[in-house]
Amino acid sequence: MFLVVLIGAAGAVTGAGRAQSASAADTVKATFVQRFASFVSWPDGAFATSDAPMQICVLGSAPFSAVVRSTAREQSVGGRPIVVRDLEDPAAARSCHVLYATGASADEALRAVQGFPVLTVTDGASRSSGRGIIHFVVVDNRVRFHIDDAQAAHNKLTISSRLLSLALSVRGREDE
Amino acid sequence: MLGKKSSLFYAVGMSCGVALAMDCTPALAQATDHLNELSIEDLSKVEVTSVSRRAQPVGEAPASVFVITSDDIERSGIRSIPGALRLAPNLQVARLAASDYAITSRGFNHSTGTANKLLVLVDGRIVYTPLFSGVFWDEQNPIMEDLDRIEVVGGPGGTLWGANAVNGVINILSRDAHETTGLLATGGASDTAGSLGLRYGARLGQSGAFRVYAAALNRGPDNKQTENLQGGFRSDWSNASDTLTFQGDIYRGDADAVPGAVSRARIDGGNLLARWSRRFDGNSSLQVQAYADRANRLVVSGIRADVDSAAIDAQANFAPVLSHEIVVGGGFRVTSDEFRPGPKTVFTDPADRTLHYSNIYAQDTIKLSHTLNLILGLKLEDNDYTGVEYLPNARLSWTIAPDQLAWGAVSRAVRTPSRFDSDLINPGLLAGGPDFMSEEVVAYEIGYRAQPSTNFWFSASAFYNVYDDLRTIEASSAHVFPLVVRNGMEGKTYGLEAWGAYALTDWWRLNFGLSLLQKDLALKPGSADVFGVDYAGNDPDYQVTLRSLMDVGRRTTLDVSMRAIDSLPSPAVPAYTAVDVRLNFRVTDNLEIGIGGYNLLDDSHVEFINPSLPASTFSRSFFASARWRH
Repeated sequence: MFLVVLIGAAGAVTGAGRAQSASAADTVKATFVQRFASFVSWPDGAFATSDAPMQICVLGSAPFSAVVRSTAREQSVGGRPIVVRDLEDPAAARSCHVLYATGASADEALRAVQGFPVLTVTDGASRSSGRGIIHFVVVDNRVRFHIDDAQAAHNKLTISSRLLSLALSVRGREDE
Repeated sequence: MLGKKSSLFYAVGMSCGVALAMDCTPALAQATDHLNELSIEDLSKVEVTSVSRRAQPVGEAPASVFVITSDDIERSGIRSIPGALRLAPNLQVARLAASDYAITSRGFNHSTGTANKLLVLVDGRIVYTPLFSGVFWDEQNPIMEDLDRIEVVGGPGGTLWGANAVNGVINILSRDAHETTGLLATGGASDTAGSLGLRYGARLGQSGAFRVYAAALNRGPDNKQTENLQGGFRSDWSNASDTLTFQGDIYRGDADAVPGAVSRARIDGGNLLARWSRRFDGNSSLQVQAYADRANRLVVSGIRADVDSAAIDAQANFAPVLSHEIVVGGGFRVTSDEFRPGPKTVFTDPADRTLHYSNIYAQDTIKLSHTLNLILGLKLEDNDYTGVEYLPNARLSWTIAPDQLAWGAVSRAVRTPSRFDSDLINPGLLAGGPDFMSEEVVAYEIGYRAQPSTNFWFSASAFYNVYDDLRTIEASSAHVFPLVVRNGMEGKTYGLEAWGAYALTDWWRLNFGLSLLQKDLALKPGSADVFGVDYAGNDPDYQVTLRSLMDVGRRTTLDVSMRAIDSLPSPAVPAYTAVDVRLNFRVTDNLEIGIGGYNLLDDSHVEFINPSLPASTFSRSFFASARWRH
């Protein structure tokens, strides 16, 4: 009897629970997003100069980009400073090195960067259907991810085996 | 290297969520500062939200919590749950015979190996027996590589976990099936034991995974050589908001015939569990779990005891306003036993009994300020023997600095009557415990935890427990017999639990643990107890553990562990020191081999004595093992 009451009560309060600051999962995801770059090599020409900044773009979630910005503060990747940008226009995504895409225009941005050297990251917790090269899921209370190495190859990116070994699943390159 | 040292703290720190339902919001703010110092591998292990309880680093849990990680277990090469529990400084683990262990926290390890003041759960399933409130450790033989972690809480956990969580809670958690895909084969042999394990796991579609396993464990070294076989499965499905788990195990165990015994000892049983949880936006979640469990046992005196149990639990976590985080839950459990006496032994009256337990609970974590959290919680638990029991707790935690936490707690817990307390009859000798009530503890605890530098952290807690209505066996008349079970003892215990880790270099770290215990027990006025206060528990005053963990190059680990255990008073067991050494070598990415020795210092030692059985001695032994993954 009280089981039923409990379940009802939990449903009623979930609305009230929404106004929360960054969740632990978002914080870990944000840390991953800026760390992934260390395990990926970009083709020649992806950076204008040898010390040009690593551009991490966040599309569709201003709160998440704030978390990425705060975790990326004072961090660098291979000597490159990190710049975190809020992306408004999905068409501008080709100028990013890492693109975290969520929300209504995520699929458009994913299509826009196909074949360009952009590491795309999507999140199983968001409702958009498209998947990036790296796709977050929360498994057993831990943030894990799937890797689409075939798409990485298409975008001329090489993902280190260390990162691949951490993936829940890897969609392999067809030419290997 | 900073990251590696720091992960010391987090390997223990971030995985503790299930143990305690306490606030984590300030913890997250601090955790964020450290995430960048973790390796990417460790980052993928950071617990972000716990299904049943709010996730929080151990550094924030206002309780004496030690987490045995899967890394600890794999490195140590330990092949049994009791062996793994030796890694927790806040537990006392003593081996009685091949597969029999006496395990407790904060004392009261009973001379018959039936410590009864711990709550032990395996993936949320209660595994202590309603017969005497203790745990048959020989019923738990999973593949150790499939364990995610073991959380050990010293002290009462009654508010969240319920009756029997008097001196501690042990929470054994297996890995999500997504994390155990592929083939695993393990094997080990020593002069006194052998083990084999085989597991296969794979993904099921986009969001599911499963594994199946079988394990065999043969243990000596004495006249009670035992063999355990266990198999089972676990499957998990998860999407953005929901997680669904089904799992089950079956097992059997046989022991060699004992001279003069009526029968060979034999156990068999199994369980099935289903759990569904949903995460909502923000920090809310809901979980419902149900399971059924069967445990059949035939012992050498010819007694057969079969126990079926089933339970359903639900829990919701939510934060109605920012300064409050609430956990509410409830559950219902039924146990149904059949007790068949041997040719000339005790029986239970009634012979078979079905017992019902139901509970509801609520706990609120109140953010008093940026650094102060107050936790208030209460569980009401109803049982067929004593009716409704109140299990409240109040905890205060003070985050002195991001890397320092002080906490204090007052809590009450009970051990409700078991079948053997109330219903066990031996004609003319023992007349049960018709008036037996719950045993009670009120525990006062304080603790301090800190990470003074990136390569050193420690945790210390002190407790003062006030017990009342402890079990005694008393004369019923001037003629003494028949004896009856009553609640004629009271008293206090106090002690200290401390542990920590120090990284000498990025490839060499030291872990230490210490537990101290003093008992001051007395019979209550009017008690006609016949066994004396020593009968309540046979405990060491101190226990010291030291472990040296070295990563010698990328493929080799060399670990040395030492434990020194004080003597036991009654029955007397001398103090002993045991040293174990293990060398692991990763031959290829798939194959790992290990060699080592146990008890290298002594020719033999006794760990615990059951006065009605010959004592088992454990001597120096050597082992080799292999682990293959694909």
